[in-house]
Amino acid sequence: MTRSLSQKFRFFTFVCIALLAYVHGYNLNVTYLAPFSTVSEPLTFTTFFEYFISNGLLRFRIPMLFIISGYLYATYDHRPYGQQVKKRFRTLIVPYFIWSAFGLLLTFLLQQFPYTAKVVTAAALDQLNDNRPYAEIGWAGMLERFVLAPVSYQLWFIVALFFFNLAYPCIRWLVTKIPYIWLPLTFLLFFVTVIQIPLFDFRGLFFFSLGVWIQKQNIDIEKEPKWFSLGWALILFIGLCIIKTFMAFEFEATGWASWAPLIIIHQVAVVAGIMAMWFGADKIIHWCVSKPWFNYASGFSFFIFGMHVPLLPYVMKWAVMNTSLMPMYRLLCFLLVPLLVLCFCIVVGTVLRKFVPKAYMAMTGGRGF
Amino acid sequence: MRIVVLFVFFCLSVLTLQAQRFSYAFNRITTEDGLGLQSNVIYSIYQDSRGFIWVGSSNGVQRFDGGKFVTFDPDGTKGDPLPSVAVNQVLRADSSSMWLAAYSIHQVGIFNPSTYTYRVVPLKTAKPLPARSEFRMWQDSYGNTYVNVHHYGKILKYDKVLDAFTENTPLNNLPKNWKATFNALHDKAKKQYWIVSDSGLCVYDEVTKQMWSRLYNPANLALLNNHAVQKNVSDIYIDKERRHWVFNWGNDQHFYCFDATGKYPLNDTAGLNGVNTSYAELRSFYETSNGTLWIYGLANLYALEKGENAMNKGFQLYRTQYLDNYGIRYGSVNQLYEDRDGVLWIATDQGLYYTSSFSADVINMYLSNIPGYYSVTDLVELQNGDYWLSTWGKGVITLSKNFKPYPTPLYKAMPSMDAVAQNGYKLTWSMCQQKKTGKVFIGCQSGYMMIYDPATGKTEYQRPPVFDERTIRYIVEDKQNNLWFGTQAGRIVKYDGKDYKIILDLGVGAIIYKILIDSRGWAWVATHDKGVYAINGATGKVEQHYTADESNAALFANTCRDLEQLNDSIIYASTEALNIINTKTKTVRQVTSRDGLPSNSIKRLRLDWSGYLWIITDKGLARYDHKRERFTNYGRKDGVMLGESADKADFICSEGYLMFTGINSLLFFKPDAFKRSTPPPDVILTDFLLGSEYQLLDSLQQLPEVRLQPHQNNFMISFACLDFKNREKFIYYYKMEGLHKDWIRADRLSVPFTAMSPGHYTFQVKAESLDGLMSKNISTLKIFVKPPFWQTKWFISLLLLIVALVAYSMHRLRLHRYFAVEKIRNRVARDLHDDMGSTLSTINILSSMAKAKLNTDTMKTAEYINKISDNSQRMMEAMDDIVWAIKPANDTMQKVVARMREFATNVFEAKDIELEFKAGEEVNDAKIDMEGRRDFFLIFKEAVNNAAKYSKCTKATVHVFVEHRTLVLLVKDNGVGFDVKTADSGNGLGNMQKRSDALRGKLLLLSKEGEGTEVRLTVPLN
Repeated sequence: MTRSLSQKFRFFTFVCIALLAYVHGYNLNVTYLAPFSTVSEPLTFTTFFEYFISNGLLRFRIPMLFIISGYLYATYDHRPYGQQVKKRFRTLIVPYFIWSAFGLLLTFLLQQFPYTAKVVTAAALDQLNDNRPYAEIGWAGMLERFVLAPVSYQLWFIVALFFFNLAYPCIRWLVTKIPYIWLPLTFLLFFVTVIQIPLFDFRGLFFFSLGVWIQKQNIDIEKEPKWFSLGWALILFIGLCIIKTFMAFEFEATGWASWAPLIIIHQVAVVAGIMAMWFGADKIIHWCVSKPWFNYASGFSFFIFGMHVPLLPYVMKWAVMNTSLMPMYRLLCFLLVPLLVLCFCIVVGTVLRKFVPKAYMAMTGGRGF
Repeated sequence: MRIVVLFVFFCLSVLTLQAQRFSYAFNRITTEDGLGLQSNVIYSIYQDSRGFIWVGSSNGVQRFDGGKFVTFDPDGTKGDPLPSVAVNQVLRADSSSMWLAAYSIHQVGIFNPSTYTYRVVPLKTAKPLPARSEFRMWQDSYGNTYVNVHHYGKILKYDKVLDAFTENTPLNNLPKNWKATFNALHDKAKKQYWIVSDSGLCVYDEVTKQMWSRLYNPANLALLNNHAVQKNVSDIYIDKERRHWVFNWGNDQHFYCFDATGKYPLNDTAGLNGVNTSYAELRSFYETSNGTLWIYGLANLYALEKGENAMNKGFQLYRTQYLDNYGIRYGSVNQLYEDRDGVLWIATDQGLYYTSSFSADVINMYLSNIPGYYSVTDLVELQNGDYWLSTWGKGVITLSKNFKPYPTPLYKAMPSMDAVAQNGYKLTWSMCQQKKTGKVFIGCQSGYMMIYDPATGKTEYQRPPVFDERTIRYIVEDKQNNLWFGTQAGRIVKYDGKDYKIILDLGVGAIIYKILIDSRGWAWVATHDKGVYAINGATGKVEQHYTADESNAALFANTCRDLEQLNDSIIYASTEALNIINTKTKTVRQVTSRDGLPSNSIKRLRLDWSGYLWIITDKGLARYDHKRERFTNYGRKDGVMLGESADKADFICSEGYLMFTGINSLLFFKPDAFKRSTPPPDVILTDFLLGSEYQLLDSLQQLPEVRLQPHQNNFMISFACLDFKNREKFIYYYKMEGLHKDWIRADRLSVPFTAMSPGHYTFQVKAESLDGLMSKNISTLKIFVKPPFWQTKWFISLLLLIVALVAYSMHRLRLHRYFAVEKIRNRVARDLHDDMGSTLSTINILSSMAKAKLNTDTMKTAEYINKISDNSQRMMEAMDDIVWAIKPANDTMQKVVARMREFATNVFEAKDIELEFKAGEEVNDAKIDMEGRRDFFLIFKEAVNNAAKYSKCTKATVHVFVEHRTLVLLVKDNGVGFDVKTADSGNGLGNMQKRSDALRGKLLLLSKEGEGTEVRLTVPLN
């Protein structure tokens, strides 16, 4: 792997996680976002902007992270499988439980005070749709949330990654032996969106496999393919995101007649976005990696990933509840709160890394040292 | 209030035998009223949380919004179909749902109108139900729902978890072989359930969890010990005063009522025996919020009003044989229901009734049961508080201030006179008490006048000639204590205490209906057919005169019945319609039925102390609010029943009560009785008519926004406050945000919207009470009329995206072309430089050298010239190649092959070498760009030249063909060959290899000494 490719991976890993905060900072009335999500609020600058950003422009992140993960895993797959799995358990599963516990604990603590409890209830983060205080839900319910449905809902990503790693020998065989069947199949599963099976996330399988395939084919991903046009990709990416945003406001809330075009446009935009960002951000990458602050902050990517939820939704809900008399308050919160949470995470990460490095290492799976 | 009490006393004492006072009026709704009621047999009534009244009839369930009944399609519901048979009971299930019970099909279910869902809830019994099972659903104070199944003998309780009625309730723990019938009640105060069984009363005590009966009565409950009431119990009821009612069947029904202990009978017949003469079955009890206890069933509807000694006063039976405006007719009364506004709804087998319960401040009365017996012509309240009522033919009725009648002093000492005169003094028409003297002037028929002096108790009987033997129609006193008289013959007479003076004589036919003394002392005169006169009280001069013929200040008609003054500048005049005379600007504004006046037939006007004008028309009583310019009708719903007939006289009492009277009728009320201290309820949207089809508004309101297709842009929204008494009295304002900027006052309870443009709208509606109170919340409905797809933002964005892509593609194409031209120019320049430049330099040098040797060494000169010739020849050939390659006409492989053939032929012929040239047909279709073709040709040229120059061959073969999507060039000779490894690659072979690389091809050189040479070039085709 060349130095520039390594830098590119580092840049996108950090940026994708940092931008995750802007997806999870989406503060319209209904905060759940899927490719086919519609908006039942009037079209305003705020609602348009937030949807356009959170469910449009920033939707390339997770696929990009899966591609990077697949590529990196394939690069180092010469190591023994058992050793790899052991390492992944340490770098993925241990942090999963730590951050799941952190989310539970934070939520529980906030539930102890009437004011913050109101914020927690209003944020309605519970994945099992039971937003009662944990004291009412009981130990069994908390255990279920700790293991299977963490309030830190972003952790699904590392669970999916772990299972891809577990299944890596199989994925590698499929990718190398029957790529023309496996890749289209997984692409289809990704594209249709709605097919899901537990633990094996189809949102990431295709892109993880693609990363493996690119590495195994020794494709030079630093060089723009001749057929690729950055202009076309950017126009498609931004244009489709705009169209989809308008559709989200104008289409019915339910039904395949609405979902199908939304999904198609969304996924095409995601693919175009990945290409455009990968091949179009070189100048930004060069500028960023030359800046010490960027290099410093990017060391906390995983820490930010683990900590920002449920912290960000709670802070966002609190901010929205307390600024509602200001003009454009939701937009201001959307722009500022994620930034503040990111800074807060970096500060906390710095302190932990300095004073309790072992704990920090456990929380991040050894990343960032 | 004093006056009402007194007046009631008056009603009960003065006219005891004849007066008829109304306590309730029953308003009937039937299938013939056009409101949409589907059956006159009504079983059940229920008001939901939004205020709609639901009725269960023999044709299913319907919803009433005060204006119409809405029928729900039985098969249109989600889940199970709604019952289309008799719905016997409707009870609350939760805030949005209701229980429907259709016992003919043994079905109970939950109906949610918002989601339009109906779900049958099974009745799970341990044994099959007997054929004659009878059911009754009831609810306890905790909200649990039960169904008693008579003849089966069990009580079924609704189990939410199982979503079914089961026998799993302790209420079934009756003594052995005792069977529950269909009556039971929950005594919340004592935490006890009373259950009627076929063997007697049972009580389930929640505290001890025991079932008590006459067999086991540890609490020693008196009723259980009372064996007289244990047999064949049909009903048990404990009312709010803790009276215990028990009904039993023997040969007929027996009624018992006990005190709160259940021990002491209050009245052994409960006051019910003997009231009803026909066969009746008393089945159910109901208590209204005012404390009235109702009992009803087959052929009976009793009311026991709350109050001291109520039991002794007994029950009032409400049932009429023939329908009148106020009574109720039925075979059986099935349910009573009091809505949240105090209206009592009654389900009968002969229609749906609702009552108008009467405020104590509104009195309606027939003065006699004999139609037309009393024709009251005037009312007056004397200075001592007495009330006098003049009648036409019955003289003057005199009442003391506490409404006790006393003998009329007017006739007891009448001097002897003839019968005509005697009768004339009883045909009284107008009265007025002079403030200064206290004398009461009573105008009568034919110019007779009585002057009663309360101080002396004496009456003068006069017939002043000034009245010209005409009826004195009106008497009024001005501020100077002068009396003004108006006569039947159009004469205005002023009396200053000494003399009568004719102020105005309009002649016969111009009846003077009223004289109003305004605040500045003018006398306003209402006349028949002569309009309205304003006479200066001091000068007697007619200051203003209004008629229907005026151009700028025309009255609606020339006959004016009544006059009232609002303020210094406004005089109301009734000339069938209402005329508002501005005395300062001398203008008249007519207010007619077009402006909301109930009818252009005004009979009486009377201003109350609050400035509201009360009007009697042929349509009854109405109120005019000058400030809001709004009329409000008051009728039976408000307890005003005699508005139409009380049209002869009016009066305002010293306590502010208004009295209107007419033939045999008297309407007496306090205007404040109609004031509303609470704001109107929130307006409910009752209908959404889209095109010509009513939509399920309940479901639509569940949506965040009603989304309409572009063509669905014509719709009508109906709304109302679900206050069935006052819904028409509220002022409604609506606004369609996105269309209107300001609130619009609705003149009807529905607003049509036509040809709405695509966009987002919010319909808002609110209500204002007559007293200016606004409904608490504004009711809204968000509507989105979708634009056609070509007007949507996403489609426009899509077009812009396509335009952007096309523009960007064109830009790229332009760039490509630019780069292609530049590339050609670069290549031509490079070729010219490489091929021409060096050769020309060589020629230049050689020519210089030849020039230098021209005179000294001719041999050398010739050699130089030969070289110049060779170079120029090569240069020409190179130039020819460049030009040939650039020329567009040569842009095909066919041309290339032809040139190759020509070139090879020329070269090999010159050397006398036999040439075999073969080219496959498919080569002509091969696609290679211009530069590639040139490279291909030059490789070929180099190979041919080499073969011709160095191979010493006698035969050469050139073969061009396509094989496996590659273009293959084969140049082979039978010459001397050479050792490829040791051969000097030189410029020629090196250039060939470079050109081959440029073509992404492979160049293969095969040669051995003595075995000829083969050059093989393979070029991949796209």
